Amino acid sequence: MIQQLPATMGRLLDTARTLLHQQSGPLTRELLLAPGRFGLGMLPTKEQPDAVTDMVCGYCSTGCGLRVHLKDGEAIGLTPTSPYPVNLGMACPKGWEALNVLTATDRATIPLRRHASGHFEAVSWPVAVDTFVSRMRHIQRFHGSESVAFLGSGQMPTEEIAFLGAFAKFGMGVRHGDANTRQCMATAAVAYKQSFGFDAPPFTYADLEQSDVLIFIGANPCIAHPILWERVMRNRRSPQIVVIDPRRTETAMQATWHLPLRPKSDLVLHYGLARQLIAIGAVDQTFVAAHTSGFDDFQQFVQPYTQEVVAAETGLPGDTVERLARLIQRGTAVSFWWTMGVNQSHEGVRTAQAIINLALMTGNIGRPGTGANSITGQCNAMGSRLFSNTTGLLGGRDFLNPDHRGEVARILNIDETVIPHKNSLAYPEILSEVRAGRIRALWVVGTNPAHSWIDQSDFHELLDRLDFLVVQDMYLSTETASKADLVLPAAGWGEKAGTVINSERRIGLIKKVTRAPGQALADFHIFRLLAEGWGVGEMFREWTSPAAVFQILKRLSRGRPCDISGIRDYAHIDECGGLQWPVPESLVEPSTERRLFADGGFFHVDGRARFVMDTPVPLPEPPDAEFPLLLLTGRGTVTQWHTETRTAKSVVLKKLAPPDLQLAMHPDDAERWALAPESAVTVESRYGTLDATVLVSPTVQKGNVFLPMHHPSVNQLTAPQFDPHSRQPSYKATAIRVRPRSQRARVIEPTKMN
Amino acid sequence: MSSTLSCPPPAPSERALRTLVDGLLHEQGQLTAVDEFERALEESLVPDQARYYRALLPARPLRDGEQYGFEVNLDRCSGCKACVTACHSLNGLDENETWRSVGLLVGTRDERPVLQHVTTACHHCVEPGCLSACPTLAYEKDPVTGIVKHLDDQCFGCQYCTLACPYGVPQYHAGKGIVRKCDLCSQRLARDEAPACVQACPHEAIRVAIVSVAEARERATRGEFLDACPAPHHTTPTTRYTSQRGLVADGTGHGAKSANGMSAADRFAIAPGHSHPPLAAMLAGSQWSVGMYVALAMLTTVPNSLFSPVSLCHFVLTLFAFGLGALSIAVATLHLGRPWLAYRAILGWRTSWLSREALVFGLFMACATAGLAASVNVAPNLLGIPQWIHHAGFVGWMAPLHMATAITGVAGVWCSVMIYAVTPRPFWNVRDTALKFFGTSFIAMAWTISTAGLMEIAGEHLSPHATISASSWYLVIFGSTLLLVGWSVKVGNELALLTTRERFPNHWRARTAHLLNGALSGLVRWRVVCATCGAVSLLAAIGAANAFGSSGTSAMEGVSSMSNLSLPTLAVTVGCGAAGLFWLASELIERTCFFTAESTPGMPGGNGS
Repeated sequence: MIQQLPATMGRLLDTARTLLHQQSGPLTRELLLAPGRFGLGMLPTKEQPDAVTDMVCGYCSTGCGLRVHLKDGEAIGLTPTSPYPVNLGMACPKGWEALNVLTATDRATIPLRRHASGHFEAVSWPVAVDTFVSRMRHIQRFHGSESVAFLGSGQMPTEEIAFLGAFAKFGMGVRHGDANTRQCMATAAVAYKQSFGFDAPPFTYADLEQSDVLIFIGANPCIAHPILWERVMRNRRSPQIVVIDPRRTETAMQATWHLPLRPKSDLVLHYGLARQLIAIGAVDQTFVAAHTSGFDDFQQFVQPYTQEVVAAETGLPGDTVERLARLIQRGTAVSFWWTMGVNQSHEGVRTAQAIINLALMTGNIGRPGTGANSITGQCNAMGSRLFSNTTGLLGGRDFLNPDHRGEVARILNIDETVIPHKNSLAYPEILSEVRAGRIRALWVVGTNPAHSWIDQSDFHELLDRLDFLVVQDMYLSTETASKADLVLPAAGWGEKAGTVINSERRIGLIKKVTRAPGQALADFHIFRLLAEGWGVGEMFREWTSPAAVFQILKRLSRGRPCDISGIRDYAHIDECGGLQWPVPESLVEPSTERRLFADGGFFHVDGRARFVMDTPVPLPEPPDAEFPLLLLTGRGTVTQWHTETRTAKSVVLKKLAPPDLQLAMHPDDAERWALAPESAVTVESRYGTLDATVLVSPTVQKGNVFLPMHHPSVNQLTAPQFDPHSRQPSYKATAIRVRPRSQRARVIEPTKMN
Repeated sequence: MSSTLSCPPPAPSERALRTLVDGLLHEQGQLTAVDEFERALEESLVPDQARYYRALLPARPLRDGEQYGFEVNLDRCSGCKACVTACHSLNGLDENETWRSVGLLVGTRDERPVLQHVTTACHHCVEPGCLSACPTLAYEKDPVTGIVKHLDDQCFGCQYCTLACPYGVPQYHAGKGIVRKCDLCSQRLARDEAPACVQACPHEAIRVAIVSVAEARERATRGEFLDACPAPHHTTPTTRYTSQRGLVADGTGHGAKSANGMSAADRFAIAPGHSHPPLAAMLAGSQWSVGMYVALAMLTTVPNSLFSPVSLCHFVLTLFAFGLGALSIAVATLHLGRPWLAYRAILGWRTSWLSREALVFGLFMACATAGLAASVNVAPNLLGIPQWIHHAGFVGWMAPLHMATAITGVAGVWCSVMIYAVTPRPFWNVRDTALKFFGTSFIAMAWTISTAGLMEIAGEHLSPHATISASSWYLVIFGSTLLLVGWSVKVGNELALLTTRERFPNHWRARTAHLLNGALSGLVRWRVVCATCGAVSLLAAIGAANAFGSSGTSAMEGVSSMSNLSLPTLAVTVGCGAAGLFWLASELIERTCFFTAESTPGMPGGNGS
């Protein structure tokens, strides 16, 4: 008893101490870390994985490797894959949060059919399939097989993209289909095809580290492709970084030289630059003579683009072209990189080709740190470009070419007569057909055009004209799904398997690491069901799984520039950390980073690249007295992706994005129109209006304003202008005007910010 | 193609389709990634990521006078915000919880259209504001590493640290009722692993550096930290921002805009702050109570007092003062995330004004309780208290007890003032805060004096034999004059702020005025309405009392004989009571504005952060 007393006292003292000053306990334990296995480093004790697997991210075309942490086979978290050659252990916030957007409450979990009353009713899959088949067949019977069209997505794995294109065209007899890649990569694809003979981005990401002059044109990788910027930051050669962009973007901030030219004046700049390069003798005559054609014409063509002409058109100082030409001449490895500033333009193809011309004439191609390099948008834009079976036949082929049709028929073991003899209409033309009443049914898969397509109110009106709109998507809350007659619930990234191809042609894997909600099915499974329901199951007997279709894709690619027949299977890709095409069977051990054209051989029949050029044309709709400002649109922040169907579902990503729609405007313009910072304004174009708040910022030029593209109303304003060759919309040049929405905003002394 | 249409293949039977659907749904539910891609991963002792972050960690152990701190190379921060999500993810934070943020600085001059993202987390200050403010000793500064750690289990969720930190670092987690914050991933550092943000920055912009405390102090004294953010001398942050672009503050300007022409991108986006209802109620209520006790002490101490401690009026006023004081202090605990740990509030008395406030108000309540007990004993036998309890002797205790209550109360209000005055928030400067808080007490005091006088007049009327003494009217006039003066000074000071000539949005006065004139203008209006109603009520009470003095007596005699409470007495009582409640409400609204109109820029935000 006596002996126990000190112990009791001790316990009492401990309790008292804990009551007064508690150093640890349940709340502390919640944040306790434990050493992670699988080379992961420390992780929260509550989130320790029992296995890991690597896959690539499903947002943008960078194609980062993510190591998914699994517990009992199911994903519980992820970290960027440290050894993956693309991202070197890093990811942007979208990648870090990739799993968290899958559990959103607005996921589509069961097929929905619009009832006569206008409301959705939940139906079973067999009923949904029957509805799809009977309505589509009915419309085709009365209006012809061409009255049904589809719009696919660069967000799906290649196997699904190919299945959609093959089933729609060969199975359903659909003639016209396109994908949202029209909105981002069509220009680059057409430019490459005409210049190189094949849609072939020549570069590998190591080029970003190996250049001594990097020229970014209409690209803001700091925001749009942050992990590519990682590679630029790891360039140890103290490179010169030139950013050609009307806006002072984050990338422009990081540049050694920013050229804030007038919007859409870059074609003139490139021609002027070419003229100057010729003048100072910076042309690689040997390369030009051996590997290109059309240089003499080009040399003649650029003569009128003198420094004075360039200065007048671009608004840049008179010596810009001279300085830039010298910089390129001095550079031993010069690389050119472009994105949407070039692609989304009324003359984007020619602008992209003007960039390609610069690389060709200076011999900056095929060597480390060089290239005319298009940075892609979506995670599988490249897969869509090669295998969507829309405007081109499977494997980068041509519907117009009887040999190509024969090859495909043989490889797929189908009747050659089911292969159309004409290419699909492009996206804008499909919509014209809707307007004309010739297309009556639309099948939209994995994209949200009711938000993202240009001139939105017109697009909404066209949707209303349709007899039947099928939307196949992960989320039922998208602007497009809400207008559908039939919603097919799809599993998303992480809930299905397949391959995607990134900007540097690297084929990466996505895997099934978590369960789709409710009855949502992988798009692949949905295509299988619909093919069965359509009665063409036999045609797709071999298309049983993404892995099986990958073997079909290998056969389709054999002998093509995008040959992947040397890739064994998914496990091969997994082991190698992704593989860049081409991987012909003859290639035994492909190295980790490979570029095209090292031997100077291009894909035209004569093996030569072409100089392609055209006289620049003025903006179709320049600002005028009525609409005095030019609206540019683009990526807002890193944490926002396109129409935000996914990114808006992560609390953290949402927290890291602006809470409302902000119109960036130069201080002088704000003063001119007496608009106070943060004041509410109405923005009007010839096509629509929207409400925004003013963000006064000298990062946009006088006369320009900027809106991030993620807000659902932004395309109310955009003018329906397209590149004549690629038919890609020109989202970044609409004449607008701004007026204050409320008088109260004027209480604050306007605009003077100091 | 046309053949497909002209001769549609036979549709499969529904049963076949159903079988296929079932099969596909089953397949969809199978997680196969592990089986299909089984491959041995090397189980190395060193994390795979170490190859990228090794150079970003200190190369040698700490020496005396040194600590760890973040070092951010702004020229490499491109605004990708990966650090925020990595911190969130690798530390297992809750869905909406972020310990790191990324703000934006923008150039405001045309020739310098700068756009600079700024990643920021805890600065592990040499003099942590959170630590000295914490009333429960829930913060520790590690003696070796200098890391400022938060003891989650010790915290009771008062959130005072969130007000005391100039940089908005401690984050209140409402679900758990505590604050949590960055600890520089001390668990990782202890194993030579880099903090989550350092591991995840694609551009190697963040590193863990060894900071000389003496140098950190020198830099803070020079004002060297970062443009357009709070001045560093307050807490001596150890994070070092480096830049070749001249973005590091050279001590020439702080606040939302710097002398270099850099501004926080969110400087115009000013939203009302949290209203903290329990705190507003606690402040206004306790200060009102203290004011009443000051008046009661004066009235009972002054020789030849005009105010008898034996009166019902004294008892009612004492009861009201006590009740309000007790209620306000009780309400304050509702502010706590974990109110059952309220007893820990006094532990930090050495440094925390919140602890001191808790201690002093504890004493205040003790004195007030004694005073109430005494006043119960001397009160007229209205409450059914047996006569034998009454001791005339207690009468003598009243004045000293009220005095003790008043003195501790005034000390308590001073502690309340200091709680806010020591935070780095200029709207809560000591002069204005003292004026506000003591102003409330002053108004309460003046109201109590007026009420005492008026109730005396009404009370005298109850007894038909008494004559209304002029001295009661002196009390009324004295109290009302004080009220008028107190109110004018207080409101005058507030109006001066509303019409400030400082330029929006960089000066705190302009920011607060912008809120009070804009989003909070409704509250300001209600404050004036309430105060006006209070004045009208008091005037009505004076009018009713005056009615006795002049002609009312005879006219009302009939009524008073019918009931103990005559109509004019009732009018005086209701008028006084209403005046008090209206003014109290008005002060409560002002105290709500005290919290909601506070807008001191922390680290730059903007573009989401």
